[in-house]
Amino acid sequence: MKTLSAALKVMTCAVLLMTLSSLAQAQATRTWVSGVGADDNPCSRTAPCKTFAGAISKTASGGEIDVIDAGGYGAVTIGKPITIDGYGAHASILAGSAISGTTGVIINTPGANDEVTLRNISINGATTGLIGVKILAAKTVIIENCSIFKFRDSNAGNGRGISDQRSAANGKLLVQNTTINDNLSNAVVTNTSNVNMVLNNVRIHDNGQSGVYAGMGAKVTIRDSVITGNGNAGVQAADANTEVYISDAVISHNTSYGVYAGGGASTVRLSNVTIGENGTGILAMGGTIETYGNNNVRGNGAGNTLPASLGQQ
Amino acid sequence: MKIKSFTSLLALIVLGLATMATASAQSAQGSYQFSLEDGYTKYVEFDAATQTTGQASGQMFFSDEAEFFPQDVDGTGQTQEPFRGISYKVQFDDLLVNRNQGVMSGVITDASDSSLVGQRVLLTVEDGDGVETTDKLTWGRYEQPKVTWVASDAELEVDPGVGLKWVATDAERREDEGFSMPRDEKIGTKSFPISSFDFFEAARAAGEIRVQP
Repeated sequence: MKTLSAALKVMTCAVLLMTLSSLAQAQATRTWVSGVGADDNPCSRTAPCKTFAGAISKTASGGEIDVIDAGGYGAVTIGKPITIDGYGAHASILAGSAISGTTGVIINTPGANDEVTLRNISINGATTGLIGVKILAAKTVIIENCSIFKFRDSNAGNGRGISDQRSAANGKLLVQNTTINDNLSNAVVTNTSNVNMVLNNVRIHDNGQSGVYAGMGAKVTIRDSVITGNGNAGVQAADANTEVYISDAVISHNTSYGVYAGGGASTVRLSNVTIGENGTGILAMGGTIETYGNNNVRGNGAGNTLPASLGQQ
Repeated sequence: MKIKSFTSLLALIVLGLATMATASAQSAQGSYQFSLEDGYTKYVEFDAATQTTGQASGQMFFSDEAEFFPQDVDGTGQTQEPFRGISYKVQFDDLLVNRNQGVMSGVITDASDSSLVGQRVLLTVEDGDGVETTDKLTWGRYEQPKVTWVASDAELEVDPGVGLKWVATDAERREDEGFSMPRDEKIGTKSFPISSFDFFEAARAAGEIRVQP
């Protein structure tokens, strides 16, 4: 009888284990958030999550988080290649309050080929936010159709719109169709060796320091953009081997400089750029400014003289 | 004798009708324990049925051991203290059955976090018996949309506002009675087509789901 009982127990356990079957475990490639969702939901179209942070753990690597309706979806740390797209709704990240703030988006994806895309998102620091988008690790970051504004925390290294702090070389950052304004410090900062940054159709205005600050040998291309009303330089190239290409842009009304090339061997190359109404139009303080003879530099408090043109090539 | 026969016949008819009514009632019951990619155990127990009046009723209990990181996304933006585990009870008010699938809707009446009380819940299940696939389910919890304003005429001192209600009709069809707008935003069994629900793929699952069409 005891043997039969033991056998039954073994069989019961076996059946239970079989019932607790290990099915295919898979995260969804596309997940959804909604203002009326909940983070304990599966983040499907019919049962959306409440926050980007809640959805990200349920989204597969390489997948996408989409937004169903207008709402605030909270600050998020991204630790894997992913796309967050707020198309069709006002998708907001509120990263500050009257009391204190945080960073809107932290990107920290260690994979050698990881790509992160932020698209159609409003990132609001509400005057106390630390940094709009902080990039710590990723091969490629794409920021499209976004607004990043009012990050005004005054601690060192904060108050920035986009801060590229990657330690690995040769990262890529593409920012296009995006507005970055009213931040306390520099609007866009890259301090990464050999990072390739492209700003295409970007409006950068009314930030406390420089519109674009490129250092540590970064390679920056600025095209079809307006950089105006910033507290220091419109574009500031610092440090040796930093190279900045600016074409089809307007750089105006910046308090200190329109274009500043400093830091030893930095180089700024200008083509079809209007530089006016800045404290100083252009200043090469240790760096080099190259012109292709088709720029318009007038009406600045000083620095209205470009070096000899290299000519069109 | 005639009275006895009539009584027996009446009893049989009543019994038969009752049996028919019971047999035709749609229902969904079950209990299911599972975990998703987060590894935390989740458990749902439910029992819903349509009544002879056509209305549905039933209950559901749901628990999830996962860790949550609440954020005040529309206010301060701050992250609040994380907590682990959530559970709530739901009173169902509707059941929709289509073949081996059922959708139940209801309202949270009791919860480990009192702020959840009053929120709407959908539970969608698929009975895999007799089909090659196994039982499946998915669920959703929904906050009620907050509408805190009413359109009114500021030039009138006492305008109660239009209440944002109107009737939408097809102007090209005289006989069109139209339907009232805005559509009811309350989450219910007809908020989404059954085919639109994505059943999750569980890392581990055990339980039994029965759907009676």
